[in-house]
Amino acid sequence: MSIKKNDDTDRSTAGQTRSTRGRMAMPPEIEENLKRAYQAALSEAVPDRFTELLAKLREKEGKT
Amino acid sequence: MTADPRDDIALYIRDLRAFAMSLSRNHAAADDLVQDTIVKAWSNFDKFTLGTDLRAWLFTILRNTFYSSRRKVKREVADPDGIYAASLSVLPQHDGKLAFSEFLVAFNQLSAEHREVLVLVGANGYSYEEAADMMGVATGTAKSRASRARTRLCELMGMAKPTGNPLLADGPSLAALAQSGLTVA
Repeated sequence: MSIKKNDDTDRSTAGQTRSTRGRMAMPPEIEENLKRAYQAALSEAVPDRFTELLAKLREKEGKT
Repeated sequence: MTADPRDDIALYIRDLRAFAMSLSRNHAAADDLVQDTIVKAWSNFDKFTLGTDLRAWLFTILRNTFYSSRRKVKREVADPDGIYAASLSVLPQHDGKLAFSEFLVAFNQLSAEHREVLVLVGANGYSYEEAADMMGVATGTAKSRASRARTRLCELMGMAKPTGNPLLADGPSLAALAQSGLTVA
């Protein structure tokens, strides 16, 4: 019989978030919905106004 | 020919828009916020420490701009696009969909500070230390804010349970709710 060491104060940051239940008092479904909603916002195409703005800022700088 | 590090700002416009959207919940306001952020970042780029996280630096400018303009306006325009209101009318046909539309409704009822910390830590994967830096608070404050935000979100989703809602109070919807893992306490 093997007893797994249950280290509650695991401070390693690598991929362990899923098992740190005590800290995440939030059902995983909600966490996934949060990520899904954010991903949807992230996947939106960037309007031209922003690339144009950066080009304008650069151009203005070239003149001064 | 040396590359201008400011060119990297362009790489984070999607991130800035997503973050701005989660703070302002309104496309037009979010894009104005991103525009202001880009201009500020461009003209204050000497204050950015090269080699550090540019996205985090841009996020900091964006959220500071958001909160200071909100103080001026003193009124939050909640969802004039009607985007989230539209998501409200999505009928719960699939359990996944139900959980997601309920999530959106609940999430958008949170305070901006709560949405912010959840988006930074939960969606962007920043550590509490990093999020605290961006929010200009102590790490402990960021942790407790995140904890309160999660609790509030769960409460809001709990309140959205079928009780008294004829739209949701049929058998399949209840089953969907149960399957979605929402605790009906």
